[in-house]
Amino acid sequence: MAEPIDLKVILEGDDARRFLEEFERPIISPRKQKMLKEAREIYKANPI
Amino acid sequence: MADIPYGGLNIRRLNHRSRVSSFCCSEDDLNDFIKNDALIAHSNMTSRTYLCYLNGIVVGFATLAAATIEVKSVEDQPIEGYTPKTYPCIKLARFAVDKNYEGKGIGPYLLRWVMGKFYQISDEIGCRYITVDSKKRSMWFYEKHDFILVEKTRNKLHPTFYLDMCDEGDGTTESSS
Repeated sequence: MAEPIDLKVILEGDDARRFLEEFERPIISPRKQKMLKEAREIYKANPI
Repeated sequence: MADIPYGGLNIRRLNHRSRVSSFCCSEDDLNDFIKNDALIAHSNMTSRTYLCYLNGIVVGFATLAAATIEVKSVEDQPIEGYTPKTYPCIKLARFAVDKNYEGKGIGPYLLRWVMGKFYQISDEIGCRYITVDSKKRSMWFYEKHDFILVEKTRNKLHPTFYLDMCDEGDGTTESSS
């Protein structure tokens, strides 16, 4: 049987700091924006 | 190697009629999961698996589950009185492409479909991130798709990544009503 799925991510220290900073002020590159736009289009073409 | 046109791929939810016995990726545990465990998890509602088809053949799959990101502390030592905070996310619990179809754009397509699915879910319930525990050999794939590595997990067997799905950028967030 495959390993159970771990459903919790724990952040501490610098990982936590970065996460909280970007939570308040997300920075989205043009590349990421394009990817997320494509994602919506792909899902729209094949919704479940 | 030419990518398969996106129009040639389609996604269906795993069910008891799905034929996955011929699926084979490079990781034995993922083959084991899709053939032996995915339908059980699907039936008991602990995860949902989506199959990517090409000409009637399963060439990839993605398994999703609800999950959380917990921020324990911004310092390395716990701070007395600090209450850890949790943030809702979707876990990409399993993700695989058949080894005969690697390098043809199926992974990027399926991951984008998962992101699109995320937006459907987050339209209904609060959810901000996608998380994944990556195989070592797949780290480049998630980095390429702007996932952020949890540095403390870099040397673990399965380093953890997360992707902020907020698409309102410029350093500000849209205020909620």
